[in-house]
Parts: sequence; C-alpha cells; structure tokens
Amino acid sequence: MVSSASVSQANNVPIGAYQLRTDQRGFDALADLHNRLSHFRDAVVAIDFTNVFWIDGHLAGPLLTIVSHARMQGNTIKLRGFKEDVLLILKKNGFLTDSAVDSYHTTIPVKFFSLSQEVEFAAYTRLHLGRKEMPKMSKALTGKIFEGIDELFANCSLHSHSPVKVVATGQFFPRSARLSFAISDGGRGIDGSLSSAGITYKSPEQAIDWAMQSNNTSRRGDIPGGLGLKLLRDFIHFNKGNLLVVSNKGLWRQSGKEVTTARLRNPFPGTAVVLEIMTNDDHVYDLKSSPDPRDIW
Amino acid sequence: MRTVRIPIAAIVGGGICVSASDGQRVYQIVQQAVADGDRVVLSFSGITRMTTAFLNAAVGQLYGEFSEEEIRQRLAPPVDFEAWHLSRLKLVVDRAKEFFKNSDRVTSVFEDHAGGNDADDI
Repeated sequence: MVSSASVSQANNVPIGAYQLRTDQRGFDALADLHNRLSHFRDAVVAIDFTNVFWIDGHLAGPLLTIVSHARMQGNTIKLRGFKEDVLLILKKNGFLTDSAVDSYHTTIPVKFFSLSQEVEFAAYTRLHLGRKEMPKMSKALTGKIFEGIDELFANCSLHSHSPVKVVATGQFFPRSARLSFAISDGGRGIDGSLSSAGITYKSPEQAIDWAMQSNNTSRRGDIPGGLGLKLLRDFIHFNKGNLLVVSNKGLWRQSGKEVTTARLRNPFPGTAVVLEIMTNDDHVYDLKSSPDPRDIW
Repeated sequence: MRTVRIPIAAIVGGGICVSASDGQRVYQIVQQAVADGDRVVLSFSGITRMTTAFLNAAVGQLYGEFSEEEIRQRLAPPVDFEAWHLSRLKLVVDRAKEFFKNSDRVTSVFEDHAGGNDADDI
C-alpha cells in the first residue's frame, strides 16, 4: 500500500506529455520515463501524471512494463497527480489496484503472464473477447483476432527472454467499432534477438521491419519459424486496422497495408505491440483456398 | 506398416494448441512413430486455437530429421480437420521445407551494415 506521506518524500518523475496515445509521441514519452527511472536504485519514486490529461487505456500495458523494470532495480513506485478521466480509465482496466466498475464492459483488464503461460493467455483472451457485451463479430473474424493475438504471445515466449512478466490489456471502442489490444514484454527487444542470433541490422526500426517479413526468424537450429507475424500482417491489411510495434528505440507501424517507421529518443525496455482491429469487418477469411489434405506433406 | 492415429488435442490436454512446448510433446510422439516405420494419421479433432509456433514444433521440425520423401510415405492425410487447420498446417510445412533447405544460409540480412489524485497502488 502507498501512503500520502511516502509519496511526499518520493523522488518526483513527471511524464513529459499531455497525452499518451498510441503513436510516436506517446511512446517517446513512455521511453523518456523509462530512461529517467533507470537512474534510480533502491529509491522511492513517484511517477507524476499532473501533465497528462489523456491516456489510451491499453497503454497501461507498456507503462506497467516500465514500472516492472523500475521495481527490478529495488525501487518503490508511486503514482501521483491524476486527472479524473485518466484515473478512471486506469481504475477500470485494473492498472490501479483501487479499481472502478467498468459499467459498459469495454475494458479488457490488465493481466500479467509468465512466458510459459500461453494456454492461460489464450483462456484470458477467450474470456474477455467472447463477452456478450462485445461487438458482434463474425466467427471468422474472431478466429483471426485470436490467431493474431496468440501469435504475438508466442513470439514473446520464444524470443523476448524477458526478466519481467508480459502484460496484456485492451479496450473496446463501440462507437468507432474498434478493438485495441496491447501486449508488452520487458525483454531484449527484436534487435536484441537478432544480435543474439548473429544477425546484423541497420537500425532498431529496420530490425523490426526485418522481423515482420515473411519467413524471417532469429530462430536457429531444429525448429523453423517466421510465420506468425506474416499472418498478423495479412490480417491487419484486410481488416484495415493498425499494428504498432515498439522495440527498444525502433517504432514500426502498419496501417492497412502501409508501413512507416520512426526512431524513439530513448529505448523502450523490450517490445510492445498494439493491435487496433476494426470490429465491423465482414471480410471472408480462411475459406477461399483450403489445401487438399492429400497434398499437405 | 502399422497405421497410428495421433489425436493432437488429447496429447496436449485440450483444444488450445498454442505453445511450442506442447508442440514438442506432439513431435516426440510423431517422431517416434515415423522412426518406428509406422504410418501416422494426425487428428485435428477438438482443436480450437493453434499457433504456427505450436505447429513448427509439432511437425515443422520433422523436415530437419526426415527427408520429404520419407515424410510423404509416413504421414497420411490429416483427419478431423477444419479448413483453417489445414491452411495453417500447409503454411508451416512449406516453410519448414524451405527452412531446412536453407539452414546454412548466411546470417547477415544487411550485408553493408553492422550494426490531485495521488498515491495509487499499481
């Protein structure tokens, strides 16, 4: 528990942005926060939200990854200065332990997973994406969403080597028929995976771009890989959604079929992925070219 | 040649086939059957979720141990499948063939570069 007295004695670290949105400015602010927190050891530190009047609820995931890293350094992390709206969304999705009722059931609650909890993660997504309050989505679309999210978690499990738990959370936007879902690990990052495999790259954003191409994988040895993110990209293309990947200093974004990249001022600790899916998508998936079972092997 | 039916969901303990470690359990059974000279029939009955990470481990790595010809002889057409099961399986199989053909490929992908409401708990 946290007391006001302890907060008043804490080292104050303000978030340097008015808005934390799912874009470069938002992740620059988060990476700056990580950079400032990384200077503290065994200290009491208060993250100051005084400047922040908006946060995309699913960014609670990447924010918790940053907090987890700060805690790993022996720090005690406090939070202060919330605007009412920011406080409410972070209570609704369970980022704050002092939770608020999510009357419209539009949040997918914050949850931590160890790297080996793939099955538990699948159960969590089934539970929360299958709620009756959720937008009506075709069975095929729901299947593609599960597929994409499962592949993301599988990538965390296989590649991140994260010393802290993976965080997942999400948010439905019924009016705009969107679902946002974030998965954040605190691992070595995509460029870290490539370096470990002896694969060289030009920049952190190009490391992400390479990993997002079909058949590219940092896996070596007996088990092939490099398919999961292709499936996800194909889906985002047809769905006209967005896929944002931040890994260390690299930022990579696919909107529909268009890809853009950018460089953050400071590294994010690990990899954060945000999926934005259009839930009113009636594209027909997976049905057009089912292979002949006699021609598989 | 014996025909051995392998119910994937039963081995994994349910229809959620998402982890590489569960895929590895399936692989060990399939690999043993193939090595014993049996003919393997994979059943996809009951599988509701399935990742490429699972399939890469379960069947993709067979192509690193056996030739395509051996695998075609030893693995029968899958059964109890839905269309999406086969689509994903085919994707993984084609990828595995390519992966093991090029397993000694160079590791550099860019040859020319190296390189007010305070105090809440969370």
